[in-house]
Amino acid sequence: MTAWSEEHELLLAKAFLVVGPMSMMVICLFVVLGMAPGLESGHPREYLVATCVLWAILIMILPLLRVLKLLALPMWMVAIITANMYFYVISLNLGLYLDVSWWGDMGHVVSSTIVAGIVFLALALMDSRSPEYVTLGNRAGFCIMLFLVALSFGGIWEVLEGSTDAIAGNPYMVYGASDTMGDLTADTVGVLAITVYAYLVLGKKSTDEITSSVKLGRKAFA
Amino acid sequence: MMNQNNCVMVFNIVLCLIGLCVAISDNDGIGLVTALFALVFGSIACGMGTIRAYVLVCLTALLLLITNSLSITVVSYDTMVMRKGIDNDIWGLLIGTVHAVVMVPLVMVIYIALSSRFGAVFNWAMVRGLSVFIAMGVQVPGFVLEYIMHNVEYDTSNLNNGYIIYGFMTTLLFLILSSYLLSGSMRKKHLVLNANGLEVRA
Repeated sequence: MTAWSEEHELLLAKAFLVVGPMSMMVICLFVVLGMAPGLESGHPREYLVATCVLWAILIMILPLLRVLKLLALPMWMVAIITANMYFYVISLNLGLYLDVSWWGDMGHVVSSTIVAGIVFLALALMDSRSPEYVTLGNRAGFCIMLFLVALSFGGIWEVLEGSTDAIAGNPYMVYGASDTMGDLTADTVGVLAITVYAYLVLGKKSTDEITSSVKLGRKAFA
Repeated sequence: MMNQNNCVMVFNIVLCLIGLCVAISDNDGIGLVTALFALVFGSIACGMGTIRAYVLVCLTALLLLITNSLSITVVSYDTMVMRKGIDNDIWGLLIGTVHAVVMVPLVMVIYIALSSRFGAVFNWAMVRGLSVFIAMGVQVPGFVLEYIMHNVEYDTSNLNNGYIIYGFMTTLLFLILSSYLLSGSMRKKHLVLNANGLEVRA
């Protein structure tokens, strides 16, 4: 990474440390003033306010880690994560999860792109930072592995959801099997989208290049 | 005269196609997707040309046919829950186990296919870390397909969350155990899986 782009990235992170939470507070203001359509749809006011406040804090984590020189992720990854946060908060405040029957499934598609993106990055790191004799193969092989591993997280999520309910003594997953299978279908669509993206990216860049912007720990920034 | 490679490939294709038909006959989405994966990756894995690869491909195809047949007959929802009155959760556990058994050799076949055709080289750590995810990743499109197939016929009687959760959990347990054993052996013997099969790392 060039000195300019690193400086630029840092500046962007500092700016987002202010813009991120401020934008969430602006959305929160609409709720407090009773102007958020989500209130009419049936979401309790406290729930929407608490969501805005929580996400205002969460949205600062990545820029803060970058400014503190603890973690740097590729810009596309940061963009996907941030876009997901806004997607969730704005949708909730507009009442789309309650008013539009398929919005929840679309939420699953969008959030599964984050998971698939993280898996893409993790596999690329595994490929580039493992001993030289180990590799995930050419880009087709890499993408098959990415597709399968990323898909599995849909299953892991459902197992966790079911187990939590079972441990808590609740009837597990009250929304029924159709909801669970609908979620898995939505996850598959999101994973497929990232797998296609990964295939295109791997045609232009090596895993070394993809992971060159990932830095973890202060030593990596030195 | 057919060589060894083609013999195994034909054996695999025939068994997987029968397994596929068996799964389709009772809307068994997991069985169908597993058969498709075994068909494709089994055929690719034959390209490695080692005895170990052939044995694994044949074993996968055979197990697939047995488990797919079991899941629509002896362990089916109609037999176990409707006729014998067995609890839904117990049936979920049984059908999950039947589906998970075939995942163990199938995951190995996927590794072999990726090594022989796509140039991947796996060490023990990758085998231990990725196996569970690969198996569960195979099952997700299976559930998706099952959902679609049952919805088309407006028959969702056997689709419940217990079936899904136990399906994933048994696969998780089977693969944790099998990948631990396999990777442990690879680690002990300093083996890596590459295009030539399992080799001692230089």
